[in-house]
Amino acid sequence: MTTVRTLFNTATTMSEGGRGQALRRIAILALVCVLPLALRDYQLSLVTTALIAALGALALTLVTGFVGLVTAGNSALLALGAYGAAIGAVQLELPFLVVLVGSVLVGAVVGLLAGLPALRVSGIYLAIATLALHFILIFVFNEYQTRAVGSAGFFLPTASIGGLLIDNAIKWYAVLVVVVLATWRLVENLKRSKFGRAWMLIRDTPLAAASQGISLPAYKLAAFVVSSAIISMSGTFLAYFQQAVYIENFTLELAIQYIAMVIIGGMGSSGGAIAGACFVVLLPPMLSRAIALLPSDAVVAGFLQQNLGDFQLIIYGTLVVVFLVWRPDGLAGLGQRVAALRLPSRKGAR
Amino acid sequence: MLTLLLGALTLSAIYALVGFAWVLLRRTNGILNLATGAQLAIGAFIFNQFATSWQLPWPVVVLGTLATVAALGGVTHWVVFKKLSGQPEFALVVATLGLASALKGVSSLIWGTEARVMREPVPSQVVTFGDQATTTLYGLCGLGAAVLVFAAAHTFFKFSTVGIRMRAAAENPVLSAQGGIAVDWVYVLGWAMALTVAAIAGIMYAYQTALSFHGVEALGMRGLAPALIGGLTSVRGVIPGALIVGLAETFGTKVFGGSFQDVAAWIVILVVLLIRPQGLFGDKQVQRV
Amino acid sequence: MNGPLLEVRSLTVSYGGDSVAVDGVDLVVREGEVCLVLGANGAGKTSLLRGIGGFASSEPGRVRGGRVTFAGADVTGLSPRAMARRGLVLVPEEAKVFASLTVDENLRAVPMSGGRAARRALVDEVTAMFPFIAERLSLPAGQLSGGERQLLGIARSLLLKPRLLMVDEASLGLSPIAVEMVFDMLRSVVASWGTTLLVVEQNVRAAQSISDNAYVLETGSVVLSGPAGDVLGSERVRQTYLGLEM
Ligand SMILES: Nc1ncnc2c1ncn2[C@@H]1O[C@H](COP(=O)(O)OP(=O)(O)OP(=O)(O)O)[C@@H](O)[C@H]1O
Ligand SMILES: [Mg+2]
Repeated sequence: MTTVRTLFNTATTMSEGGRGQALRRIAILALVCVLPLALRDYQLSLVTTALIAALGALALTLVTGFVGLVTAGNSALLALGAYGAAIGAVQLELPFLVVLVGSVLVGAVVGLLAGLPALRVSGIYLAIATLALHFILIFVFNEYQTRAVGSAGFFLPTASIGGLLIDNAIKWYAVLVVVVLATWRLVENLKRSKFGRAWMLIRDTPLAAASQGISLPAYKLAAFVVSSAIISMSGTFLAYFQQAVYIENFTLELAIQYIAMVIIGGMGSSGGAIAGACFVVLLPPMLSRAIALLPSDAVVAGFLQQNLGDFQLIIYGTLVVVFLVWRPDGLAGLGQRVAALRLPSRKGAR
Repeated sequence: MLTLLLGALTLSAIYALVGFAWVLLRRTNGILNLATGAQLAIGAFIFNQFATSWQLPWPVVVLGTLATVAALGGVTHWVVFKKLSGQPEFALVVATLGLASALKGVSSLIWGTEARVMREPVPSQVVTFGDQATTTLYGLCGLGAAVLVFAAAHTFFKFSTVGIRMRAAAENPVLSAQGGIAVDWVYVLGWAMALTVAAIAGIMYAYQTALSFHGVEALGMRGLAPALIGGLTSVRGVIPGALIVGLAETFGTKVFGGSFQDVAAWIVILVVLLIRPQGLFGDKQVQRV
Repeated sequence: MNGPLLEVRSLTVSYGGDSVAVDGVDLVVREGEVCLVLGANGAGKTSLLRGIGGFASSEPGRVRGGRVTFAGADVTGLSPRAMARRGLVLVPEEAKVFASLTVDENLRAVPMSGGRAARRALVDEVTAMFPFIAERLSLPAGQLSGGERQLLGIARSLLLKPRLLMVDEASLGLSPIAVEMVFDMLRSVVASWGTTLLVVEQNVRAAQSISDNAYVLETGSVVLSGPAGDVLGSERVRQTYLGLEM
C-alpha cells in the first residue's frame, strides 16, 4: 500500500527530465489554444469556471499538499474575495484591477490573522481556526448582504482591464488561462525554493525540520498566508465572472469540494490540483449529460436529475476517502503510472 | 433573568453532550472528527425514521436507533479509518471532511432538507419554577440526558474493564496491542459511543427546536467549542466548556439578536485559540510540533 | 536439551526508505533458556525484538524479509496482539506501563485468559512476586519510581502467561540496586514458571548471571553468538561492553 508518507518522499525526490518538461509545455500550450476553437460558449464558460477553481486548488496544494495542513476556510476566503469585489465594485465603484489587488491583500491579512494563533500550536488547530473563520465570515457577509441589498445578493459590473471590457467567454478564458499559468508557475517555483524544501521537510519530518532551526510556525504561516491571498483573488474572479455574489454559494461543502480537488488531483502535485479542479467542476455537467442520455421516461433518470446536488456531495466525499485510502497520489499518480506503463524506457532511465 | 439562566443551562447540557462526542473521538481514536455535525444530524434522522416515519413502539425506537448508530460506528472504523492508520494526522482530518460531505448527501437524499416535527413520547409543555422561571419539559430531558451520559461515562471509564482498556488504548495504542488488547475493537467502540452520544444530543436538540439537517449539523459543529475549551481530550473539561458556550450563546443572542446564535460558539473558539489554544481546563501538556 | 521455541531466520526490519535497522538476523531460542542480546546504541536490538513481536499497522516499522517461527508455527509479520495471544510477549523499551492509569488499572487492563477463578489466582500469584504492587494499587503508574515501573511492566506481561518473554532493557535508567531487583525477579520467574526469556540488556554484568546464550549485534547484523560465558568472555565484548583493557 502506498502511504501518504512514502508518496511524499518519492514526489519530493522525483524530478522530471528536461525533454519531458518541454514536451509537456508544448502539449499544454496546444491544448490551451485549441480549446476555445473547439468548444461552444457555454462549454468554454464551464472551462473558465474550472480555471477559477484551479486557482483555489493550486493555493490549497500549497498548504495541504506541501505543508500537510488542513484548512476548512476555502469557502470563506472565496467569499472574502467575492464580497470584497462586491463592496469594491458596487459600493466604492473601484476599477477591476484595484479590486483584484485589494482582495489579494485582504486575503493575506485575513490568512495571517486566522493562522497566527492556530499555528503556534499544532497543525490541526488550523482546521479549527479556519472552521471558525468560515462560520464567522459567512455570518458577517450574510448580515452585510441583508442590510445592503437583501437576499438576492449583489450584481457586479462587467470587468475591464485598462478600458478593455472582458465581456465574453473567450476573453474571460484568455484572462484566466494567463492567471492560472502564472499561479501554477508561482507555486512550482515556491516548491523548488528554500521555502518549498522547508515546507516538505516540516510535513515529512517535523522534528528534523525543527532541529535544523526551521521555525515551524513561521513557515506554516507563510504558506497559509500566500494560499489565502490566492484563494481570495480567485473569489474576486468568480464574482466578476458570474457578475453576481450571494451568500448561498459559500457553504462548508464548497470548502470540502476544494479539498476534494487537491486530494483527487494528488496531494503535493500542482498539475494534479488543476486536473482535480477540472474534474470536480466538470463532473456535474457531465453527469447531467450522461443522465440525459438515459431514456427520458425512466424513473431513475428523473430521480438522478432531481437529486444531482446530493449525488455530487456523496461522490466528492466518497472520492476524498477513496483516494486517501487507495491512491494518496491521486490522479497525478495514476497519470504517472500510465505514463510509466506506456514508456518503459523512461522508467528505466529514472 | 432566571428563565434566561435556565435556558443557558439546558443549552449547556446539549453542548456538553456534543462536546463529549468530539472529545471521546479525539481522545480514544485520536481523530479530530469534523463529521461530528453531520453524524449528529444522521443520528437524529435515524431516530426520527424509527419514531415518526415508522411509528414503532418506543423501546424498539430506542434499541433500533442504538443498534443502527453503533453499526454505523463500526463501519466507519473498519471501512475508512482502519485503512488510514499510520497516515499523518491531517489525512485523517481530511477523511472526516469527506465523510461529512458524503453523509450530508445521503441524508438529504433519503430525508430531504426541510424541517420536520418529531413524534413526541409525551406532549411538550412549559415547566415553571417558583414564580417566573420557566423552561420546557424537553429542555429538562436534555439536562437529564447529559447528567445521565456523563455519570454513565464516568462509571464506565473508571470501573469497567472495557472502559479501563479504552483509556489504556487512548494513552498508548502500541503498548495496548502488545499487552493483548484488541485496539481495533476499542476504536470501533469509540466510534459507536461517540455516535450514540452525538445522536442523543441531536435528538434532544431536535425536540427542543425542530429536526432539520442544517440546524442539527450546525449545532454539532459548534460543539467543537466546549471540546476545545476543555483541551480537546478532557471529558471533564467539557462541562465548564459547555457552560461557557451556553451562557455566551444565550446572552449573546439576547444582546445582538437571534442570528448571533450561529457565531457565538465560533467567536468563543477564536478567543480560546488566541489566549490558550491548549484549552482552559485541559491537561497541561501540548504537543508543539 | 529442549527444541527451539523461537527460530528467527534472516529477519530484516526497516522503517521506510532504503536503510534497514535489522539486516538478516538468525537467532534461535530454546525452550526454557535465557537468551541475551547485546549491542551498542542503535545496533538494532530494539528493532529486532519489535520485528519478532510485530509492529502495529500505525507504526512506520515493517518486517521486510525473513521468517519468524514460534512454537512450530510461522508467525512472521503478525500483529503485536496476535503475538501476545500466542504467548510471545514483549515488554517494550520505552513506556512499559500506562502512566495515566493506576497500578490496579494497569493490571486490570490486561486481557487474561481462563476462567474467573484462574484469573484471580494468577493475579494473586503475580502480585505476590511484586510486593510493592499491593501497597501502591491506587497510585497512578506515572508516579511510580523507574524501577517500580519496569517491574509493573513485567508483572503486566506475566498476566498474559507468556511462553516467551522478551524484555527490552529491563535496567534502563536504574540504579545498580534496582537492576539487581529486576534481575532477581526475572530469575525467579524463569525458575518458578519455566518461562523462556529473550532479553536486551546494556548492563552486561547484571545479565551475565542468568543468561545461557548471547548474541552481539552490530549495525543490524549478528557479529558474535554462542554460549553466554564464551561470548561475554570474548575479547571483543570485554573491550566494547565491559570497558576492560586486555
Ligand atoms: N521509529 C523509527 N523510525 C525510524 N528509524 C528508526 C526508528 N526506530 C529505530 N530506528 C533506527 O533503527 C536503527 C536501530 O535502532 P534500534 O532502536 O533498534 O537500536 P537499539 O540497538 O535498540 O539502540 P539503543 O541501545 O539505543 O536502544 C537506528 O539506526 C535507528 O535510527
Ligand atoms: Mg533499544
